[in-house]
Formats: sequence, C-alpha cells, structure tokens
Amino acid sequence: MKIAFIGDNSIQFLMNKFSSICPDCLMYEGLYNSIDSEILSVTGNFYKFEPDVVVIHESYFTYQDNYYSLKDDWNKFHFSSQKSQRIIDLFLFLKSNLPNVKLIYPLIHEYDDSIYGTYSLKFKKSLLYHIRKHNNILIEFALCNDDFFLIHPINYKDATLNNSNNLYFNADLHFTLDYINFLSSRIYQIVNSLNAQMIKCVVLDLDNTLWGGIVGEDGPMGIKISGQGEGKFYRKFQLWLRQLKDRGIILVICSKNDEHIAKEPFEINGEMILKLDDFALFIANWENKADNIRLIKETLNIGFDSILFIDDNPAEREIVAQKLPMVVVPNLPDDFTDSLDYLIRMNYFEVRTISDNDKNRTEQYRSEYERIKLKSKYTSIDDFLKSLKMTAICSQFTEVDAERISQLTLRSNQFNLRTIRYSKSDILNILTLKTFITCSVKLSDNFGDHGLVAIAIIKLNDDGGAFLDTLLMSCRVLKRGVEDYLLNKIVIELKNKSINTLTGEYLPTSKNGLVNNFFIDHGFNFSSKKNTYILQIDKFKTINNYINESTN
Amino acid sequence: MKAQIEDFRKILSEVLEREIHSINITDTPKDIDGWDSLNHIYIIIKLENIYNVKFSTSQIQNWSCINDIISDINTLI
Repeated sequence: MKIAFIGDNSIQFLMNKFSSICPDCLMYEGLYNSIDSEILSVTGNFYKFEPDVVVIHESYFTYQDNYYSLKDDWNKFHFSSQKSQRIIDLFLFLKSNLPNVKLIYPLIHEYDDSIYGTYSLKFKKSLLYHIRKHNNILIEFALCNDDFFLIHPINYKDATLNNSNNLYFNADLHFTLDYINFLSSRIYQIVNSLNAQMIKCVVLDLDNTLWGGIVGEDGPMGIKISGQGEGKFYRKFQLWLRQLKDRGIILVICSKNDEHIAKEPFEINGEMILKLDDFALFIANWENKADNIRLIKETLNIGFDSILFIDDNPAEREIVAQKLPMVVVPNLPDDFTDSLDYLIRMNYFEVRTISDNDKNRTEQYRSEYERIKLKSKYTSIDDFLKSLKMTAICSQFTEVDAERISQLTLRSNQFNLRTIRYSKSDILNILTLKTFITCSVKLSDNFGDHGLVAIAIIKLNDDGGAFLDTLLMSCRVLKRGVEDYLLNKIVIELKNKSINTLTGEYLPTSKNGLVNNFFIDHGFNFSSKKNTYILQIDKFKTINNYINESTN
Repeated sequence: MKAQIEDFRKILSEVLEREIHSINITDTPKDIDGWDSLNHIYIIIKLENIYNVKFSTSQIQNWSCINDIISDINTLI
C-alpha cells in the first residue's frame, strides 16, 4: 500500500505516528504547504510515487489565516464555497490521472474565533459559518463518491490545540499529539478496509448460537429465544443478523443436527425472528463443519476469505480455523452473550463501496452534481498557477527587512543552495558593501500577502564574474515559480553591471535535496574543476513564469 | 523534586531512541545527533507531561542550551 500525505501544516507528526502503526505502508511526504502543486504537477515526484491513497490534511489555523487575509466582501462571502470546491476539483484532477486512487480528507475543525460573540452562526461572515459550510459541502460530495473518504473530528472531542499554543507559535504544530494519534488510527482503519476482503457470508451454528439450549433435548418450544436473560440476548442477536441480511450479507446455517429437528423452531416457534427463507443455505448434518463450509463456498461461488464463521463451541471453531485458515473465525468471548458486542466492535462488515440500496438514495444527489457539471476546473499546474494571480516585488535588501532576511537564512533548510546562515548585523553589513548584489522577493496572490519569501546574495569578483553566495526560498511558497522569477531578476541586474558569468555552488545537507538539480535545470553548466556550475549571462533565456510585477 | 541533568539525559535517550551516555549542561541541540526540530517538539511534549508543567511560548523561544531548559522546568515545578 502506498500512501501520500500532503498538507498545509507540519505533516511529519502524522506520518511518524502512522508509520508506527502501519510499518508496511510506503509513504510519500508532500512538500510543506503545497497541496495544490503536488496534485497538479503530473510530472512531479508525487505521481512517480503512484499513491494508492492520498491524505490531504488541512488545518483550521491555516483556514483561519486564509480567511483573515481576504479584504473584499465578495471573496469573504464565497470563501467556503471556493475552498470546498477547490478540494473537489483537486480530487477530480487526481482521479483523472490516477483512476484507482482514494482520497482521505479529515474535515476542518469547527472553531469559533468569537468575533461575533455568541451569534457566530447568525452571520454569514463568521469563520464558524464558513467552516461548517465547507465541511457540509464535502460531506454531500462524499455521499456519492466511493473513493472520497472523510474523517469526522467530531468523534474526537479534544481535537483542538488545547493550550499547546507554545508549540504552535514556536514550531508550527497545529494539533495535539493525541489528536494526531486519533487521526492516524482512523486513516489506518480506512486503509485496512480497502485492503481487506469484505465479508459476504455469515455461517451460523444453531444450538447455543442462534438460540439458547439444545433443540434436540429442549424441543422447538423449549429453546430460549425471548423474555429476560439469555433469551433476550438471542432475540437481539437475531435482530442484528436480520439487519445484516437486509444489507445484503448472506446468512447460512451449518449445524450438527438432524435436518428436520433443526428446522422445527423456524417452522413452529413464533418467537423466532429469523425465518427459513432468511437463509441462503440450510445445512444440518453430522459431517465435520470444515467440509460443510467447503460445500457452502462452492455453492455460493465466493472466496473462503469472505466467509465469517460463528459458533459458540471453541472446538468447532478450532477445527475450521485449522482446516480452512482463510475463513474468518472470531475468537468469541467465553460468555456467549458478550458475542454481539464483540462482533460489533470488531467491525467485520466494512462497506467499501456504496451498495445498490444506498445507490438509489444517493442517485438524487448525483444528478444534482451532474447538473452543476462535475468537472475539475483545473487541467494543469499552469492553470492553477495562473489562477493564483501572483504578483511580486523584487528589490535590494533594505534595513527594515534585515531581521526577516536574517531569519530566512537561519530557518530555511529545504530550498537553500548553500545554507549559509547570516545574523541581522551580517545582513546590515552586506547591504552597505558595493561588492554585493542583493535581491529580495515579496509575493502576494489572491489568498493574501505572503511577505518576503525569497532572497539572493551575489558576490562580485575582481575578474568581472559573480558568485551566487546565497539563493533560498521559504517553504511556504514552493513550486510556484518564485525561483524562476528571481533568477530572471538576477540576470537583468548582472547584465546592467556588465557581468558575464554567474558561478553557483550546491552544498548538500540532509534537507536540501529538493534543489540538487537546481543549476542544471536552470541552464548552468557543470564545471568539474571546482565542483561549481557556471551560467553564461548572454546565453541565458528568460524563464517563463506566472508572477507579475506588483503595481503597488 | 528538582529536575537534574541525569533525568534529562534519560528523557532525551528515550525520545531519540538510543542510549545517550553523557551530556553537558552547556550542550545545544546541534551537539547531539538526532536532536532535530521534530524531536525537539517530542522532547518538549514529553517534558511537559513528565513534570506536569506548561512552558510559555517565550521560554521555548529563548532556550539555547540544556541548562536553559532544566532551569525553566525548575522554576515551573
């Protein structure tokens, strides 16, 4: 099983936990905060990994940030519709490229920011209103899409940070570890249900399994099937089995009895919930049960692993389990009246696809979606990048930005070619020196202002060349072409200064594998002498990107 | 019961899943193999649970060496 995790928060915690409960799964870690670009880059590592299951994990903190960054009312009003439609679009895009993929999406936590006091749900501009609407739209969508799975945080009460703000502000931990444990076990259950053979048939014993007592001794009217005590359990058990049968699970009797004695209770005891025609097969003889189950398998033409065998007698269970190891044989509790709880808890009857019954009910939803045309609006990563309407300003370092620039050099590990750290005073020093060219990029898009996200420091050599001392980018804006935009700017700057060559160097660390091909991908030539990469400025071709100059 | 460097060594060994034989009060995360940003968080959560304390955002931000962490624990308990 191959599972890809992508999210807008630190998903390593979720992956760590998940790998401890499902060590056999292969996992892919999406780039930080790159849900859209991971799914839309069909040539990227995500698609090379070929995931069977994709988990998209969005945090309500990010949801809140995005909402707060909106300025005009129209965008605020449509926020949840657009946000939820985006997930649906991504799902459809994913399906069009990986037809068998399943998507797991934990719903956003309901969270009230108290802006509207107690009346949040009476205001269409409240955050809580939008979170609820977002979740509801996705719930409706999931009803008619078998491969779209939701996890409801409602089942987990202590889901919010719960006083862990110290770790959110310092380390971008959006959830408590308890909640992350809950989420990973839910994901595991879903993944397991995808792998498991579904139970199609329940094979049942009669005496002390479907009723209390032994029909051959107590008689068809003497067995316990109603009233208080054991009889009450057997009544409840039969009612539950009838629900299973109505859902489409096949019931079969396999009992060591004479057939006419075994059938008597069904024929003359009016308290019996199950009737003879509730069973697809009725086998009562003195053969061993393993042989009888072989016969059942042949007759119904199903696999052994889709048969569940229920018998109160541990010896019978043992024989079947030994002779037919594929058959599912629950190890029922000693007190058989605990068995129903046990079977419910074990959750043997996973519904992977929607059954015919459910399908009719969901047909109306489906046609509704067809009307609004169920089609992904994205066709490529380029469409997505265009839709972001990104604008940027590129400028030299300024004193005001020195603190932020220093922070970026200290904290950026992934998109960082040489990982040179600079203090604030180093930066203040560099910007006074004539031997350095500096560039900083501030980026905005239709989700708001990202601030200063990328920088370059270029050292001018005496020989008319230049050395790329630092080029780095915040992981918040990976895969959007910011580096292409920045390199274009650098080249223009170098041309203005009549510099012919730019030399680059890649210093590998455990975290910057992302950029190991940066130079080759951007037209630099490798020079084995000094292990550097050289760009001839006059041969550089401007790199296409979707970032426009900011007009502000 | 004041927190001691020996207690810290044990907790660190548990989180990093290997026996760390000796640490110094002046050690920083950089000095100890495997003490990365992710494990840093697991360490904080473990300390908060064991000592039943809650570090403030600024306390966490201002730590530079093991001594800072231990002395913050001791002011909180």
